[in-house]
Order: sequence, then C-alpha cells, then structure tokens
Amino acid sequence: MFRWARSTDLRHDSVLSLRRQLCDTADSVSAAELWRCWWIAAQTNLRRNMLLLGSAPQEGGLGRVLAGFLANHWQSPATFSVQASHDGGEIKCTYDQLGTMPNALGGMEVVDLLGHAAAAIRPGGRLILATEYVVGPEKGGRGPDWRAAITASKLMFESCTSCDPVPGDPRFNSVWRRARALLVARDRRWRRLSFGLVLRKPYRTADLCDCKFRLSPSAERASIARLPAARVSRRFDRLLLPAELRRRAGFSLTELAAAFRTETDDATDLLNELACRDLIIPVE
Amino acid sequence: MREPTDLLMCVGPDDVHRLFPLALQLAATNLDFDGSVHLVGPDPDRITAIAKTIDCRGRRLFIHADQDVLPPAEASLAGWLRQQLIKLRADEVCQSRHIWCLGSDTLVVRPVQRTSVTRAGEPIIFYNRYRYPNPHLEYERRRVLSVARLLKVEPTTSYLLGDFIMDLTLFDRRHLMALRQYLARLYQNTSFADVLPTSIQTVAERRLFGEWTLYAVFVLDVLRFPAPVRNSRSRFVSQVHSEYDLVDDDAYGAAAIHFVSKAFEVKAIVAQLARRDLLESTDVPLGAFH
Repeated sequence: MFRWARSTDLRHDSVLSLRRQLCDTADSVSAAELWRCWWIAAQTNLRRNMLLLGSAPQEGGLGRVLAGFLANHWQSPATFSVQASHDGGEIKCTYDQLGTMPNALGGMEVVDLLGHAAAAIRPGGRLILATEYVVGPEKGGRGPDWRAAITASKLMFESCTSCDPVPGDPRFNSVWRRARALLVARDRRWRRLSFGLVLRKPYRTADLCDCKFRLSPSAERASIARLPAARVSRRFDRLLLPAELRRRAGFSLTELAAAFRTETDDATDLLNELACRDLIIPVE
Repeated sequence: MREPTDLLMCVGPDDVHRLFPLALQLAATNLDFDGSVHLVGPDPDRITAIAKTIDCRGRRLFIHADQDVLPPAEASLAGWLRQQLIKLRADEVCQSRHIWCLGSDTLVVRPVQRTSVTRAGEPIIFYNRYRYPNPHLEYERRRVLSVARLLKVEPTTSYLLGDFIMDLTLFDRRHLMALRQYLARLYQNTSFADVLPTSIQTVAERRLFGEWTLYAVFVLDVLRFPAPVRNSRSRFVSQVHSEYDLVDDDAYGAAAIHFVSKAFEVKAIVAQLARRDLLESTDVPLGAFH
C-alpha cells in the first residue's frame, strides 16, 4: 500500500487546495511535500482536522517525518504525548506541541517516535506516516531501519498484500543503489526519495469484550460483485469469509472464534488481519 | 481404555541415511503413541537395516515399499508427490483411528502428549500465522486456493487461517477415507494421480498442492466438520529453511522441527540441538553424526 512517490502523483489539480485544507503551513511547498499531503489524504480519507507532524526541509540523513493521526483514533488529546530523543536530548511533545517535532530523526529516534506514538494510539487506531530519505552520492548513511522500528512498535502494516521495499529491507538497498547511481550519472548532489505507510495498532483480546464488527462498506461492495468459485482470483481472495461473519448485524470476537473453531486469542489475531485489510469495521 | 495410535513415516531416498535414524529415535522417545510404527519408502531393505538399530521402545515395526501402498498410477509419480499421497493413504497402512504422520526429516525434540493435540477426543488442526503482511502467508494462501479449486469448494474457513504445513500431524482415518470417496465422486475415479498437478518442477508449481493443506481444507470447508483449530505459533512444528534459520533460537522452541533443506549437514543439525540441550532425553547415538 505504500509506494515510492511518482511525479505523476502531482498532476492532480486538487492537490494544492487539498493541502490548504489539510494543513495550515506556508504557501511555498516543495513537490515532495505536496505528494505527502496528497498521499496521506488518500490513505486516511481525512479532509479536515488531520494533524501533521513535522515541517521544515532537511538535507542529509533522514529528511522530515510527517505523521498524521486520525482525530478519533487517539486517546484523549489531554493525555496525548509523543516523545523522541533528538540530538542527545529527549523531546516530549504534547498535543499542542505536535507541530514542533524535530525534523531529522536517526535510527533510535525513529524507534522512540514510533514506540511512543503506538502507546498513544487506541487499539484499532491508525498512524499514517510519510517521510523521505535524502540520498547522496557518497556511500553509507542509509537512515533509520524503519522495518525494525515498526516491528519494535508492535504496530501492523495496513492494507498490504505485498510490501514494496522498506528502508531496512535488503531489497531497499538495491533501490538505494539505483538512486545513487542516477545521481552520479546526472552529476547531482542529492535526491529525495519519499515513502509513506499506514500502520495500525492491533486489538488485544481484552479490548474486544464488548465490541462488535461488521463487513466494511468496501468489502460489502466487493461481495456483490463476487465471482463464481471456479474462477477464484486474487481480486476476491479478500472476501473468503464464513457466512456468519457477513451478517449485517455484525459479530463479536466469540462469534468469530466459533466461526473458525479457534480459541479467542487466535481469533483476535485473525480479527486484526481483517481490520488491517479494511474488510471489517467496528459497529458503533 | 484409550485406543492405540500408530505412527506413519515416509522415508525418502534423500533422508534414509541422513536424518531418518535420528527422526525415528526421537519420535520413539518423545511422541506419545502406543501402536505400531509403519515406515514407507522406495527402498525397504535400506530402511529395515537402519530401523533395526533404533530402539523403538517395544513398538512393533512394519516396513512397506511405496508400490505396496500406492496404486500403480500413483507409485510412478515423482517422489515429492508420492510421499504426500502415502500420507493421504495412511488409513490404508495403519490400523488405528488416529494416526501420527511424521516426515523423516522432522525431529520431535520435545515430548508431545496426545492430549495436547486433541480436544474432546478430536485431533486439532494446527495452522501457523505470521506477522501480517507476510510473503510466506500469501504463498501458503495460494496453495489453499489451489487445493480448494481441486476440491471444488470455496475455502471460506481455511483461507484466512493460511498455513497448514505441519510435518507432524495427527490424522483422523475417517477424514482420510471420506476425502478419497469425495474425490472419487467428484472426478469419477479413485486415483489421486488423475487430479493432481502434472508438473512440480518449480516453486510456483509446488505450491499448487500439499497433503496437509488438502486435508485441512477438506475437513474445514468440504466436510465442515467441527474439528478444533489452533494457531501453532510455530511452537508445535517449526520450519528451518535456511542457514540463517538453522542457528536461529526461534526455530528450536517448537516441539517438532522440520529441516527443509537437504543441504544441511546432519552433524550441524545435531550440534545445534545439543547446544540447546534438546537431545538429553534420548539415547541418540551422537557419535554416529560427529
């Protein structure tokens, strides 16, 4: 679900106005910044009241980090706090200070940021992250290991059936090498690579005692268009669920466990995947 | 009085002089069964010569040739498929209602009680899950879809569960019999050979079929039998694919470990087990591997 920025992403006429709706920042914005805002908006379906972390440009090492928190996915703003170590010191951000997050984050700082952000998000809530790497022609300096940071945070990737290379993956190194080779060929000093991802805080069994879930609208729409069994295709792999889970009234964790004949902890694991794939939503 | 349970092991030519002696010894030591041991392979004489040196703790030992177990059409298939079909005919080889099925490259390194793999007397169907998203989970789901196509069923229960590859499994003979009857009705024949993929040369082709997956999809989605289902969390059976896995502590937390690659040296495997004190309870002739 996350991918590298393409210049074609910036051709949407609505991007600039969308950005103005989303964030109250200076008018002079870079192309990469526009892309991030457009991407975040597309991922979150948010229009207003989205909070973005990070701002000013940074050359060398990791560029800036922008993270959008869905307003209704956090714990209460009064208790919200994100911490990140920076330049040897520790920075604590409260709700009101989010816009002043440091821009350049190293490896351990990313782990800190994600770890604390994960603690602040409520179960089932999402963290939308967009960032960029600045690639220079010299070797080394690959930036933080996002994969390790995400693993440490215990957040889950959302909506992915396959992963593009993430910084920290072996596959990412080849992307990195290609980008650097291009710089050398064009005699340029540096180039930005942008990426973004959506992470979700998994539910624990204890979080789900009084919760009910039902098929998401997108899963219901796909259900209507489903193909006969003999033509199983990747397009509707997502819809292969027991019939009792497709009821409009929704289902509880206990009913999910019964449908798969598993114990409730195992069912929680299955439920988290369904939520990450946007197949189910909580019944309010 | 509880019913006896037999053990079936398929012994391929690549394993007979490698992990098979250790696998048999550890199974006899750590696996809770009181029936007979049935060993099936293409070279029964070699299997017999080795099996005779292993202390099976008083259990009766039966050795069968592949062609004695499989119909001619299936006996002529490639070894990889042949071993799978032998397991799917375990009820024709063994007598007990529940049958342990174990690969000869799979080591049962911790005691496994039958009560820990059954619930209310029914064998548990184990599956493995991975942090989502995971390419391996997607790979195994392709196998579920392929097997479901073969069974002409929608895998509404088994698809999400994902990975049923368990090189130690407790089969229920009733389900194995029902599976063959179902396929015979579906395809108007009684041989697996007519419905299986014809080529298994590539990784993509090999993911089209799998005996454990076929069994699980059949029980869960065709029979809709209320078999208990449990996430193994790689603690019942773990898979060691690479040199990296071979030294990774995670793999050695399981009750049984499947050493997938034939490139692993047996003495390297034994060294890893010994380092973690996983051979202490056995009378394994360690010297044979050093």
